[in-house]
Amino acid sequence: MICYLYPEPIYLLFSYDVPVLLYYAQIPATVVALLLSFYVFWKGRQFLLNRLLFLIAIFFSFWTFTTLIVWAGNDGGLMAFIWPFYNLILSFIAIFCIYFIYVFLTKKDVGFRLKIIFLTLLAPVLILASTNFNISGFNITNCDAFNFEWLPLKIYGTSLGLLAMVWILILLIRQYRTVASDFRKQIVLMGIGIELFLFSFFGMEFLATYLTKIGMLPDSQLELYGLFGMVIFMIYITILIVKFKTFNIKLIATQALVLGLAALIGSQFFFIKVPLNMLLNGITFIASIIFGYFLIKSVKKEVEQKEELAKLNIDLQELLKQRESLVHLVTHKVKGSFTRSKYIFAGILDGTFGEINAEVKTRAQQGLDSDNMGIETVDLVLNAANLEKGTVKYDMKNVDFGELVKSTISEKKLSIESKGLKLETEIKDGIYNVLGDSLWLKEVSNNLVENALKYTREGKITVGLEKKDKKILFYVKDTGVGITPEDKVSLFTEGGRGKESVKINVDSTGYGLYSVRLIVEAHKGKVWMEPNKEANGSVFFVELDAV
Amino acid sequence: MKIKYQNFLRNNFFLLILLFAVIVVVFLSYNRFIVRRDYIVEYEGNCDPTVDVCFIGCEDDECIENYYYFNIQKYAADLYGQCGEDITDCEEANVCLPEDHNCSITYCDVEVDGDICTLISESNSEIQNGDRDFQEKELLQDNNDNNNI
Repeated sequence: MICYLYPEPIYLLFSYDVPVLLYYAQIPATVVALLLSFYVFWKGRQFLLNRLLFLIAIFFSFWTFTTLIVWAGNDGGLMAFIWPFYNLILSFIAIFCIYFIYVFLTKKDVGFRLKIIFLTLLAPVLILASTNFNISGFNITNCDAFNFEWLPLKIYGTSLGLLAMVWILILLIRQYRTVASDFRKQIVLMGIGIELFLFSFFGMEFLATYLTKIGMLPDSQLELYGLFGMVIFMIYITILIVKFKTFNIKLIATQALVLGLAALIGSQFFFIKVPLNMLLNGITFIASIIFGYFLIKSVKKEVEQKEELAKLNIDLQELLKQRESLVHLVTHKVKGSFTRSKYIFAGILDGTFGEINAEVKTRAQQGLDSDNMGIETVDLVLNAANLEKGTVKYDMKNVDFGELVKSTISEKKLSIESKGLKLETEIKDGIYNVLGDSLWLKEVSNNLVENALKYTREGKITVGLEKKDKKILFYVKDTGVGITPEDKVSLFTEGGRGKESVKINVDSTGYGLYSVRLIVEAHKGKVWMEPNKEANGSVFFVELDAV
Repeated sequence: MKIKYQNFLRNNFFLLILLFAVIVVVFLSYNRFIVRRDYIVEYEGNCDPTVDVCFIGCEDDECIENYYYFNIQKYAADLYGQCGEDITDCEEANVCLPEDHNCSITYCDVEVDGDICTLISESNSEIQNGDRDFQEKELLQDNNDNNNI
């Protein structure tokens, strides 16, 4: 039966006698929804969540397709056939949105009972779809079936949308309270997207139908505004994919942008009528696709490189951990061996194993010294490793740093002078209290003085301490070999041994200054080195906060 | 193979039931609306204001020219049999015939519809004069808008 007052459409979908908004609202929304959801589906067909998103987009596309036919068409019979599906598609979208959110939140399919509930909710619209309870007739003068719809069933379909909104909101809030913060962000984004879609889609549909029925609106054009909700939903879906890799696919922002741009430019073809504009739009469309292709390619390469780097970084961290545990194992074993032989040599020297001659005594003494040095080296490495790992627990107390420095000086004085070097002190009067661990701070002063001793062949070592503006400055000045700019780079780094320093001290581990840096930084202080301006050599500074 | 098939059915029973139901609905609807034409068709029939109380409609947006109609409902299958797809020049579309299964004509009811109805005694002179006062034109315009929903 032909609606005799309406023109015949072109290809079922196009007619000059429809509001322009129809094409602007329907086509971009449908194209964007179908393209994105198909991409999601294609990239992860094995995931239920991806399949459900694609299904929702298909239902939505059916909706827009049938709406276009009804708006543009004049075949009453065809429209009477299509009209009953409105309610059905509405109900399907509502129920599948709930299903989709369940899977999104729980990462698994819903249970049997819930599926039965879904089927029960859909049963009335399915059973009554092709009966008079859905529509009983068609008006071929106005070309609609508004007056032949059974209102209770119509309201039921729309109410499912409202039910979906409330149900989804409760699910999202309940889950939001129990999950980790990263997933919370995803819940918020997904929640806003789907609720806006449902609100605009069902809200506008309800308003349009209701206001048209009571005669407040001449037609149901208002419902077309609701379709923009799908575009908003897809934008949120894109954010979720790009930012959180939701749906288990790697879609980069550039891909989404180019796809969206192509969809929007492509959709212009449906309502451009002037041939020149059509040509210009065609050129723009092709140019955007070519440009987009190269853009995606280059960005993809960059992303892959970044991902590769991130993977390598993870591998490196793993290797470092393994190396750390190996170092610990080896150093403990080595230290154990040194300690055992140390006690044997000590036993030989103190006569535990009986009388020994001078030659054996000299050799035993050399062995004991060598073991002590070995234990010292192992301790240095172990300490550095513990300091770096953060396993060292500092016993922070009010400490007189001046006393610690003086104690170091008195302990090292003999060694310094026995090497033929002169020891000078420049400790100004004052209180040198700091908040710190006396054991480790002593390690700092010991290490720096020991370092100066190792690298100074002649001249003097000066140990100084002064206080300036609530800062305590401790320094150790030597007239040693000095440090070349190349070696300065590796100072205070793990195992950092300069080329020149190795020539002087072959036993250098490179862990002494590294430990100093870690200890000082743990005390919120600074450590640095400057060349000795007065003579060839270096000055090592430590700055700590005074209390 | 059998287990795989059973698993597929168990995992997808929800979607399969829905798919089956949709296919049934499509088939039933197609059969009802396209094949059997089992529904009511409503349209405006040509009304003679000299004989019946008719609704007054506007031919154009300015409502300078009027036309007169009644609402008629016919069973689609009957109407198709009498007129084919297009009822524009079909006389049978404007009357209820004895063989019609379901046919009703609704004329304008002055008590319900008010001033949008023609009055039999006055309608002749109205047609001849082709003139109406402003208030009546406004009512006609409203009537036309309501009917074009």
